[in-house]
Amino acid sequence: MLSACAARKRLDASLLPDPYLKKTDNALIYDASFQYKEFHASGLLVMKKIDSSAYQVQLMSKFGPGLMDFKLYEDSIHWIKTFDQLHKKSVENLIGKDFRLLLLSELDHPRKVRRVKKNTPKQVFRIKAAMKSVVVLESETGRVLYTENKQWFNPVKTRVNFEYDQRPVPKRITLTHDHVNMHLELELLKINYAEE
Amino acid sequence: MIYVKNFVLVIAVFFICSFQSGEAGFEKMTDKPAFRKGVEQMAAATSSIQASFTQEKYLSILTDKIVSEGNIHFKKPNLLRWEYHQPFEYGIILNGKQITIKDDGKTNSFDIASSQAFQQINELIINSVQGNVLDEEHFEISYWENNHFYLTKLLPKDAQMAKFLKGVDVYFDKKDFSVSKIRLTEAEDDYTLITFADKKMNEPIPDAYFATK
Repeated sequence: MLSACAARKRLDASLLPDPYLKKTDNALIYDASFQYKEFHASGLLVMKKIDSSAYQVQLMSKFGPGLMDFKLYEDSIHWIKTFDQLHKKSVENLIGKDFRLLLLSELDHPRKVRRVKKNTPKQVFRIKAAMKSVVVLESETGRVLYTENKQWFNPVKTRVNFEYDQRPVPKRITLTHDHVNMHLELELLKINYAEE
Repeated sequence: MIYVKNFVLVIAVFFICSFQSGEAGFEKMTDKPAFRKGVEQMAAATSSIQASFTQEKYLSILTDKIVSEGNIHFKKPNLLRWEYHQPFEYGIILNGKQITIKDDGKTNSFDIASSQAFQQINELIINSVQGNVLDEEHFEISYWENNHFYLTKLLPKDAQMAKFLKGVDVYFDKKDFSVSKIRLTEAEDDYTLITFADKKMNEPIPDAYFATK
């Protein structure tokens, strides 16, 4: 009986929004701009889907050298390179959570996703994972416009907006936190072919 | 402030190290003292350098390289303007007193004197641009040559630096001992290759070109 109810609630995978990296076999390269209070910095961010539910993210300086490199799995994060100053569990967890939203990686797991609003210009999906979140989809295009985490107590809620041009992946991604004067903006530079 | 420190570290690593690879056709350098003397004389005789550059970033997870392009202007004793124009606008200006980063219309300046790290970076960048990078105190250096280039392969001795940087190759043009290419290989074997072109030596550059505002 319980399993029957669960099965009824589970959404058909074909009705789920796709993570944008699923729409391309390639890696994406973004011009990443970071603002914290008065301080501004930038670099290049490479994001690639490395298997059915894992992603690799590399941040490098515009002078070339890599700064940060990690792999994001369904339930864990594996750090390959980071700054000594950021090599703290709390910071790394925060970065991991932000990138789960930014990459829309939880959409790879249909069992975690429920559609709570449909038949409108925008559909809303709720994701029940270690980090609860909502995803807003534009019905006409099937593109994800917005996501945010939805914890009960969450003073630094993360919000991510996605903007598009004619390409199937976001041309601009903006990530902000409530109550923190911090802003991450990604501008698509290139869709780059990845190795098999 | 963390990000400032990180940026400083990255810049330092980049400019300390930028030069190493195993290119076909290179053999052990036959006359190392003559090469070193040539580089020293070139640095001494150079009052300014202007060049364009192409930067290629190779990542193991990509089949395609990431290419950026820009210009470099250097004037003795310590004025440098290093700018990217494609596919983004980004630049760094050193004027002896300040390091200024121009990033898509935004400017951040730091007093060089305020930090030993900035002083070291300033020195390293200026030395690197002039080809004055044969620092055997901090690097294990091997010397190579082919018909067109002298090649010095620098391996960092410092363990902290080696965590970020596997090695640096500097290619010197045999015609004039100027730096032609720099390859920076990271610990994971990803690397950055910078190739200079349209080099103009000792042409006048007004100091105002290095103004930060």
